[in-house]
Amino acid sequence: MRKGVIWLLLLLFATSCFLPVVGFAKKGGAGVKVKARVGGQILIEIASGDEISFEVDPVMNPEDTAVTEIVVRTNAAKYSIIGKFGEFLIGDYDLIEHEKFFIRSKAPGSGKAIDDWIVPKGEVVILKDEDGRTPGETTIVEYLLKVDFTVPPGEGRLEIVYTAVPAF
Amino acid sequence: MKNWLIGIIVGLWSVAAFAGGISLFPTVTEIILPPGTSYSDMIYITNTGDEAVTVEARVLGFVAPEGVPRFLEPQFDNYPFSGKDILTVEPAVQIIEPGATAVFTYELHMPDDLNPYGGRYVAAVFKVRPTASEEAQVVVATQVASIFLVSPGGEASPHLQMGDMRVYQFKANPRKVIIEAVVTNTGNLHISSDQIRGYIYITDADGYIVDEFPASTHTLLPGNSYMHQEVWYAPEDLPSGTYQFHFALVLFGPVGTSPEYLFMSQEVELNF
Repeated sequence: MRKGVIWLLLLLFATSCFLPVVGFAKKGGAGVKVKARVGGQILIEIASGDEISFEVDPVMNPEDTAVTEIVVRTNAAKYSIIGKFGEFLIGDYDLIEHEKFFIRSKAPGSGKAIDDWIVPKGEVVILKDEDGRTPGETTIVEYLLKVDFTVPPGEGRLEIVYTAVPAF
Repeated sequence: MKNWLIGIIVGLWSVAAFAGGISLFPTVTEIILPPGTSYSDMIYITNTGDEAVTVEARVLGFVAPEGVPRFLEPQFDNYPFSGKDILTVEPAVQIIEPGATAVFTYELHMPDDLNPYGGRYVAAVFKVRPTASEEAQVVVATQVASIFLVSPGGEASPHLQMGDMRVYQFKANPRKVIIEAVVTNTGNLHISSDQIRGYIYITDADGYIVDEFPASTHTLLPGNSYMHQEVWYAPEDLPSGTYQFHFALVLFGPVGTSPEYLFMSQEVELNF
């Protein structure tokens, strides 16, 4: 019994000696130098556009528009917003592939937005090099859906992911 | 016909995941990590919204030809300087209560055998899992990314190349002049935006400077190439004639190395 306690104490002692070494090794090895760990913060939120609906049909209402408002707060000098668009499928018919779905964007300031309607395929830079150091400013993304008789009936499904990134 | 019309109605609704937001710290980490070494630290994600959110962490390599990261899905990531295999982030998923901050731990490990030798570029990407309702067809989600620029030190260095300079007038407005050149980093390390500066000079037929202005430069990863474009508005009183456009780039290096100078000129006939 006493032997067991001694072994346990020895084990605890060995562990307590070894832990700081492990911690140091995890933090960084020889030659590791953090040149910059930018203490900046970037915040993204969707201010509106959370219940948008398109109601379209090829005769009475062949196109419809909608809007998402993206708010960014950051102390980075500049920032950009990237949109990633998946497939917009009605069955196996892709509204993006068939160029029925378009976007454009409006910059809150001096950043470069998308002035004319484009078909969003894959990753799209929604806003580039917008001036940062802002307590909150809004980028507007407009969507346009156009349908005709080549579009099959049904409901489309699409995921859009907006990423805010600082200039680096 | 009526049935056809009814059938073709396409109803689409998009639902944004939440009304709040998430913030990230740190945004960018630039680090020298010699082969065989590791570095571990933390990333903080704060839920600034009113509802709990589920945040998923992923590791993605990226390229940035225009200075904006283009994240690479692992199956399409063939970028030789991608750092997708040197970064791990834990845990993969966390639920963050309103106002709370979650801590994700990351570890960078630079392998002993780097092939090709050079920098590695990777991002820890945090996506808010959308809480879309069942009927939502389009889901808008948000994410933030913590960017890592990792140098192995040693023989890694950037190298700049410039070519295919073009100068032309905008058809709708001849006083709007476009200056273009292809800029490439042919080295094996990124060029930081704090290491590079550019300048445009416009001279007349006699070599007198008509105008000059700084060119907008940005971080350029190794192997990345982009079409640098500047717009110049010729003064209203500038007469038609032959002008020369000069594009200068200076890349600064560490102490003991000479800056890399690149200079291209293009003669052009401007007609107003």
